[in-house]
Amino acid sequence: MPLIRQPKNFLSGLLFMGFGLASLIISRSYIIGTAAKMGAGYFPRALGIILIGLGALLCLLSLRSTQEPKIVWRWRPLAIVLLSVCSFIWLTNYLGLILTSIILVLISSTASEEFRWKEALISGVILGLAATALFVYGLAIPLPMWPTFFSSGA
Amino acid sequence: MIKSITIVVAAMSCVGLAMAQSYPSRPIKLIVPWPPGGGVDTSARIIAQPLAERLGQPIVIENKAGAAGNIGTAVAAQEKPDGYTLLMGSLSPNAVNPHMYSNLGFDPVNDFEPIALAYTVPCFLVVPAASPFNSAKEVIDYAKANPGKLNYGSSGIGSSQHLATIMLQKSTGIDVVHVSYKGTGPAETALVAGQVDFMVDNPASFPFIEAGRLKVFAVGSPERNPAKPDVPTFDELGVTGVHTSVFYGLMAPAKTPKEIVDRLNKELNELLQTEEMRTRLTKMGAVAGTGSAEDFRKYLISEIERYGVIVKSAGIKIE
Amino acid sequence: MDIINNLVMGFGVAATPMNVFYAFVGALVGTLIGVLPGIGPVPTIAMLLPLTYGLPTVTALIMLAGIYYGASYGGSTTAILVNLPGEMSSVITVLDGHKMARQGRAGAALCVAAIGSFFAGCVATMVIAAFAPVLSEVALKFDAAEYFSLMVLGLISAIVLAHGSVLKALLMTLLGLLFGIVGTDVTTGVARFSFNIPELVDGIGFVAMTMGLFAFAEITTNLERTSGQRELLAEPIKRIWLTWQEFKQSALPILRGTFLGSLLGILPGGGATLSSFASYTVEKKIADDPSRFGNGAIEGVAGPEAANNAGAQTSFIPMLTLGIPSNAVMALMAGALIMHDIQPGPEIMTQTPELFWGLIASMWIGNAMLIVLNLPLIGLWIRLLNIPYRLLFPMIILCCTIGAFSSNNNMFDVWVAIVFGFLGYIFAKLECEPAPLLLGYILGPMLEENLRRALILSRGEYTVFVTRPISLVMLLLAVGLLILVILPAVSKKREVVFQEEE
Repeated sequence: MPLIRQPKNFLSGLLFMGFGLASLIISRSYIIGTAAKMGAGYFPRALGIILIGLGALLCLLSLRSTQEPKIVWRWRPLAIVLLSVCSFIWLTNYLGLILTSIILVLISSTASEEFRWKEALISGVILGLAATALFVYGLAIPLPMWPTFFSSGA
Repeated sequence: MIKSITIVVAAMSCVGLAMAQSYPSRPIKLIVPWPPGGGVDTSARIIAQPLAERLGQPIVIENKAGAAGNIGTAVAAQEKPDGYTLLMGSLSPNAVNPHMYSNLGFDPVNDFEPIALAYTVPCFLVVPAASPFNSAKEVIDYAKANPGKLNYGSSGIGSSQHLATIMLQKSTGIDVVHVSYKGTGPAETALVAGQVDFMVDNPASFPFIEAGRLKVFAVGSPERNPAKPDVPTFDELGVTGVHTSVFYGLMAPAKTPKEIVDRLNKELNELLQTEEMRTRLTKMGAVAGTGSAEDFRKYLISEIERYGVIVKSAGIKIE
Repeated sequence: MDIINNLVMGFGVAATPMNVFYAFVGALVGTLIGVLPGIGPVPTIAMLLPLTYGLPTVTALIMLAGIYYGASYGGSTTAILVNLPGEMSSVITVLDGHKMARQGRAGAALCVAAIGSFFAGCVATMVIAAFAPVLSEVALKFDAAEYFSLMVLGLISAIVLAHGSVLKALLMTLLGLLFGIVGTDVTTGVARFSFNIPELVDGIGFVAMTMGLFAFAEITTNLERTSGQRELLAEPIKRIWLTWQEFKQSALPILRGTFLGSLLGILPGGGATLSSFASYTVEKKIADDPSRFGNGAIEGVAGPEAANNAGAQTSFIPMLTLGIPSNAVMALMAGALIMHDIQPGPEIMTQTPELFWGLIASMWIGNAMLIVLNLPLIGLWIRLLNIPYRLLFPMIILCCTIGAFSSNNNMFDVWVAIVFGFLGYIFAKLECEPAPLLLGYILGPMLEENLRRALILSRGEYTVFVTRPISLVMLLLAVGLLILVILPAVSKKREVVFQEEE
């Protein structure tokens, strides 16, 4: 039997310990203070220590108890979804919301194995127009509608 | 060589003039570096609507909040100086934050073309109704006799209430304990409930004074406030140097054509002189701004210097 | 009776055809934007504000209030249908509401949310009418020490939210606390964990964070499933109305939720946000079979929804009686009053009684509008679930991205959503639930701020927390709850140990 029987709990524990450690390191320059004048560093440090302690406990508990299945990571859908969101950040101010929406929909649709070019394109166009009507016209969210190099910033 | 430059400059000013004559020909964006609903946002909305009517073009308010106004102000500094993007400037980002933040993102003097001071609101010394104190002198005397005993509230580190109290401390030598709240609302709640002893608050506390839940003792401006003519100034009471007024003013990115700046200055000043605007401002405890764009620039620079001294002496630093 | 007279006056003001019309418009607009993930009532109200200048003050406020209730109800719809909470209160609705939707009971979930909200709204309106002035004085009794103890109680209840490991829920709450303190420290002004990024000086945006943790993470885990399991409807929709059984199950939770929500909503320091959590905790603790919670228990939707709406309603009390806005929407409404040349403050009630009572009457009208509007819409919303997932998910991503951007009109929030999308996926894989994290995030800053403020005010005396009666009661409740939570966990552990030894 492997040593780590509950990989989910073990990794969670490591993750929490990591956050706790980061908190300790980053907050080391903040003043701790006294009870009457508690500084900015008191809370982050206390949290860091507790996170490390309880995270370690979680790791330890995962060593015994019942066996659990391995974790199956699938990075592809995650990467595609997040990339499509990045495209929004990078492109909207140049291409405008309509074109960017189409690109976002096209990219994100490829995350599904049922992806079909035509369908995604049509849904992208519809969503782009709907989003522009709704958010730019309806809610006055300050995003450009059309590519900004067409007009001189107007 | 010199001649050609003159021609270019003359040509440019002609373009500027032509622009100013047709200005504004499309909607104007007014950046408010705060979320909707706050003091700066309300001030922008109060002047935007009637000003738009005068200019014949809508003024669209765009809230770009964050980092105590720094983010929106930095964005405004980068915008095209064509008069179609303006900034609602105010005390914190334009005069106080430059001394508190290391990563400001804009130059408070050189990145902007001040247009006009819209209005200022001074601070008032207020205590809860149930407080044993009945005058500013009693508060100060008690604080002198009992160092570290009284608590005062503020809407945050570096807020006008905080800085005004630091001025009061410097002027009188009293030692009082700062209790910081997240915004004016919670700070005033605590004051009304008597959880803190006093506050040097802006006129947001007027309704509580009128309802008899707060007592007001002094005003922190050189002259008495038209809304509260019975309240003496700190100067009259012999406490010098406590002058804190939150200002609200219209600004544009640097290099905005002078013609446009002057046009906006003229329209705003005329607007501020209307009867309707005057009564509304007085009711809010505000003092309408007057003067040219240059006057506003001078005011701005002197405020930046004054608060620099206060912030440094109190050792406030955000980053 | 004074109240009756006043209410009659209020209805006289509010029930004019024009006001009813604007109440309807407000509720409709609110519902529609509430359904959009990430778009809250604040930008909408800000945008509509100029349109209200031409309206009478009462009418303007009635419409804005309608948007507020509508948005909160619309947010629950999205939470139930696509597992996407747009605000704190819907984080709770997601827990059981979305499970119900997947079981083909979306109709029942939406229905009970509407009925619960309506009932709670009606009761809370009466509470305001009868006790507003008294209750606002109660709110003033809450000092830093009381708020601290309330937050402790809230944190302990975060652990109850989890239906998995107690230890993990506790750790997620603590991590939420850590995320919550990012940004400027109220007490000292130090910008913590901000890495010199101006946007982080204000902390991590709630909307961006939930978009990442819920929407992006949920979509990616969904995409991993085989196409059959992926569709939002695991089972066909059975009905769009409640069964008699479900109705009976929900009645008491709605009553309790209404009570809790009305009570917590009064506190200006974020009491309303706690109300749905409190209700969920109570329902789960007193249930015969707590394991049903998190798996589609209708009580877990009915109670919190009622509590949330009651809290949203009574959070008007500090605003109406003291002029102190208790949240961003209230601040905007206060701004609207100023635009109409009325200074919000304690005198509103005496100086402009028609405004005060008109608004109260309009709350009831607004709630009635919501139920009239939303019960027929349920059928329409449910049809959304029939959209094939491959078409639905890019739509959700687009909406959430724009929603995250719109919270501050800043691309930085979209980056935050991306980071939390990544984290959220890892949490999902490791079976760490995000709800306790969000509660920690909300409570963390308030907990710390009030702890430090209480100690400043007491000059470092820790005894303030137990010498003040309200604070003491809440701390005792917290200890009691903690014991209740830990006991079953301990006994379960023991079982596990015994099983292994056998």
